[in-house]
Amino acid sequence: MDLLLQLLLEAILLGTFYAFLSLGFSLTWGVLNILNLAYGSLVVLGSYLAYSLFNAVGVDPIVSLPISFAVGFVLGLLLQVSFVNRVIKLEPFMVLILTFGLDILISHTLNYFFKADIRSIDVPYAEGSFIVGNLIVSEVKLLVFLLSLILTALLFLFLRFTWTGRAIRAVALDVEGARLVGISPERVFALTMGIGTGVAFLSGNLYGILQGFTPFDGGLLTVKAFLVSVLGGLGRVESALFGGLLLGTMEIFVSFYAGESWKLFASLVLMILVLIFRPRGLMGGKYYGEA
Amino acid sequence: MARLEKAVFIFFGVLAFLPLLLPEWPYWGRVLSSALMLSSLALAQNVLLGYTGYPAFGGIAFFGIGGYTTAILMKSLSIPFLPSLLIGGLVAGLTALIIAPPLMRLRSHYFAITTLALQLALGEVVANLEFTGGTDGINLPIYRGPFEGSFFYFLFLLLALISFLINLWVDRSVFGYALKAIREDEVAAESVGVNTVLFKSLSFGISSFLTGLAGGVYAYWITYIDPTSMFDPLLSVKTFVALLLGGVGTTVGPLLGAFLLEMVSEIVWSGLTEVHGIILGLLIVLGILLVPRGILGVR
Repeated sequence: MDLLLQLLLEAILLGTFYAFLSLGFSLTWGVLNILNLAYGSLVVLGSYLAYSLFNAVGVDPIVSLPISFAVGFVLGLLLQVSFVNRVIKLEPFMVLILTFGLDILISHTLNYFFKADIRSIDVPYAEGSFIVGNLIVSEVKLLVFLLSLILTALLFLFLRFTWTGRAIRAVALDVEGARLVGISPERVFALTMGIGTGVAFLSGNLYGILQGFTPFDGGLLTVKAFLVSVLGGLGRVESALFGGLLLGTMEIFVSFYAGESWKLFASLVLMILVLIFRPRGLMGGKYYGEA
Repeated sequence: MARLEKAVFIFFGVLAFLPLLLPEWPYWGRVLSSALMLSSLALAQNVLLGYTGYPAFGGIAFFGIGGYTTAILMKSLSIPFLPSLLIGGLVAGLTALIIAPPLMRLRSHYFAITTLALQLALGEVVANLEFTGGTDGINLPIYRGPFEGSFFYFLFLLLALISFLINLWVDRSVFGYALKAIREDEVAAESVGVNTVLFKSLSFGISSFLTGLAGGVYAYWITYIDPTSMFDPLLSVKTFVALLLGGVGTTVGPLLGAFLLEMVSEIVWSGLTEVHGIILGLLIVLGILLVPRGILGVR
């Protein structure tokens, strides 16, 4: 029983991080209809940014969160202007291959500069763990869990209650309709790509705190973001939480009972099954705009 | 027959005599074999993407199935190479045929990413199982026999020729017209009596059969296979880049794109292993931005 509770706790801590991780991916998917295969590499780029800020300048990895978002946001805008606007009229799978090229480019460039060694950001104030009842709680995991929860809530409030957030949801629902009421879809697309990449960088910052990373972690992270998105459905921030918790639970339990090496396989099979039988996700609507 | 297609037959004829003519054959044999293998893969993918409109981004899953089947049959059951190879191709093709009906309900990037997930998942299974050698992979004996220096070159040449002939046939046959109808508008094709599920499954099967054969020849050629090399996403990308560069849905384009990509990469940056990945990434991004329809592409 204690063991089960411990595993569930781990699943909740990890799953909430996965939920936040997936939000940038599902936002660009829902609004722009882009499956961004470079998403994981953008996350890893965020990890290396936080790592460099911490090691070279001494910026605390929590203080660097706003910097990560700002850099990611600007990069996202640049990506939108330089690539995506030019290829968005092509077949969607061409964009898929384009982003795969981008993924190879980013991961190999990181590998060129940082080499394939495992790096990590060590937070001095969250190294140990403490005991509640019969449960062991790791401080790092708790910290990342809380930060993920706060950032997810902020994004939720932004999309739900600000005019900009409403404009994004409106464009997701109906581009022409949004244009009719005076929203510029082009600006919303750019904004969405900016926020999506900003979220990727933020998750990368958190990922760096949570565990060690290498330049080639991107592919795995993309799979996770994708899985959370399809499990929950693209609809809402809440469904990402649902998907994240589901993925976290599955990963923790498969690792524990079948072995670490079957974890990715289980995720991929689940992904194939959901795509074939339930492409709209287990819950939630198709677009961010559907209330 | 179009002039370009006749030129391809002359090109194949010239390639058949190159082992006698070219100096430094071991080196050029290796480069040309790679180019011919990539041509076969691109031509196989062309049957599916070019004529049927379904991008199997993870088509290399069947390269892995073909390669592993061939290797396991040779190693564990001591079956000679050629029958093993043929069975490997058939297993790959039949697997595709069986999974096609549920899988091909998805279209465009959803189909692409599902096949990619399939490829990665198969790589994970193979890495976790006993009889596939796990992450250690499988060692095969080195080929000894007639044409020792150019055996695999001729096999790849034959495979590329067969793939090209199949593309020619698909381009002109009633079967091909059905595929093209599915590509242009699946509902309309269905409504005029095309059995879309059957035809697109067959297209996936043929494409995967050829891909599986390429995997089998590759396995014996390279003599050592492991999950990372047989289910490599980079090979999927290279296939697509070759195909997109040359022109999707043309008979000559995939061949042209594959040779162009392989030759350019060999001549320009074979020495620069450090930045190989960076250049490949850049090439993909720039290629799609600058020539989205390919060199020979019409659509």
